[in-house]
Amino acid sequence: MFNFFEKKDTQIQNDVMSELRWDQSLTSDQITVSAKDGVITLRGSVPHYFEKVTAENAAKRVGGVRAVADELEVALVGAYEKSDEDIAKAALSALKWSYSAPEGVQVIVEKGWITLSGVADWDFQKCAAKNAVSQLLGVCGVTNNIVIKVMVQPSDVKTSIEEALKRSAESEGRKIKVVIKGDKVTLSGDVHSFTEMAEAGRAAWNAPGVNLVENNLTIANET
Amino acid sequence: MFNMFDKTDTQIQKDVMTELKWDPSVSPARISVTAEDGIITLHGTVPHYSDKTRAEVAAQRVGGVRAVADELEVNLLESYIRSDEDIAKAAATALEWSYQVPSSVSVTVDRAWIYLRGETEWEYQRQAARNCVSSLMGVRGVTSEISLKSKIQPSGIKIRIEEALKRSAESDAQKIKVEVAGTQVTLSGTVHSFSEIEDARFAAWSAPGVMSVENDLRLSH
Repeated sequence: MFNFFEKKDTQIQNDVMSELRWDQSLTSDQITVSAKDGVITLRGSVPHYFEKVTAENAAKRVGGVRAVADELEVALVGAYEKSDEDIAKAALSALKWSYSAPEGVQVIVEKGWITLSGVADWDFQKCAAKNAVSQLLGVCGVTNNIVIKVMVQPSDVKTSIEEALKRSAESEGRKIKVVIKGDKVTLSGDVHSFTEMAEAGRAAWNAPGVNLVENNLTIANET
Repeated sequence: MFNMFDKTDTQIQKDVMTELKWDPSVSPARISVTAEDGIITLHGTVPHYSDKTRAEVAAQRVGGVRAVADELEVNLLESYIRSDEDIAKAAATALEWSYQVPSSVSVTVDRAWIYLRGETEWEYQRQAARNCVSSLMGVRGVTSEISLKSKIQPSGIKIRIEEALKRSAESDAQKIKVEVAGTQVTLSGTVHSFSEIEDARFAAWSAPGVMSVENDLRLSH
């Protein structure tokens, strides 16, 4: 199967392997990669949650990749292991000291897995809370259950998102369709890269009053 | 003056203002924006060091912007002020608990300004240390004096960076020129967006043995 980048699955698979080796922050040599119709599946194990995220992002950087299925397991090794109690303390301190995380986020840690709950005004605050704890030692996963509480009554959401997309150097608002239903935004259409996809998602989240963004954008398959 | 986005400076200036107001993570109240030949200058004050970076990034997102000069000053809000001692403790804990930052990095705080020192093997570790402390409460600025000490003898740097650029979905490898002198890499050429520049920089820094990256990439006009 060919795509925008005119690469075969074998080539994409090779490129993702090379990119994983190339990214110096990935220390694991236990990752295997398979590719089918531009969809990459990552399997194997990594020594920390952060490397899972890093591996996904590395795969997404590669031209021709349309989606990434992350089946990586986190197997913490000796020095990186911490007690749940210590992780919880470190997480609370990190959240308390974070300029952008919302106040009052609750933390539960179970066998190295952090679950965050609470309320935020904006998606960037919810993301900041996750970022504050994702790379703590001993973490093998993060579930972000923070809820966005809409403060503003949504108005002209569609127009303002479309305008934000138009301003952007990355998306130019070209082929992205914006549909609003209540406080939910759905994005659809074809984009060129994961960067563009993320950028459009961020623009939608920035609209006042938005409670949920469904990002149905797909990576373009043809020119 | 026109550019590939067909925008005048007035339009670019307006778009940047709108973007700063649109982005909820930016505190735009005291920011003013000027534009000349696609170069944006941000003046004024922001309530935290993170706001500087975010305002820069927001401006960079706007089509037609070729460069951003950040003249913003940090004027900490009363409620964000912390003592140097408390900031130093929080920063040391953050570094100690970071999966990516090696223990060779140390921190001092002087009037709410963080100084990072020490050595790391890779640029990503140096960057991780900076990220770790930049968004801490009470921070006015961060200066990183961390030096790189690579254990690896560089070889084939040029070819390997070019290959990484070719793999990437973001960069147009043909438009980026990679020059290597010893352990220093220079990137030049004209690209389409700031994320392409970031992507190319990342590729260059990833080459084993690279000690510095000179970024002469320009945005198309």
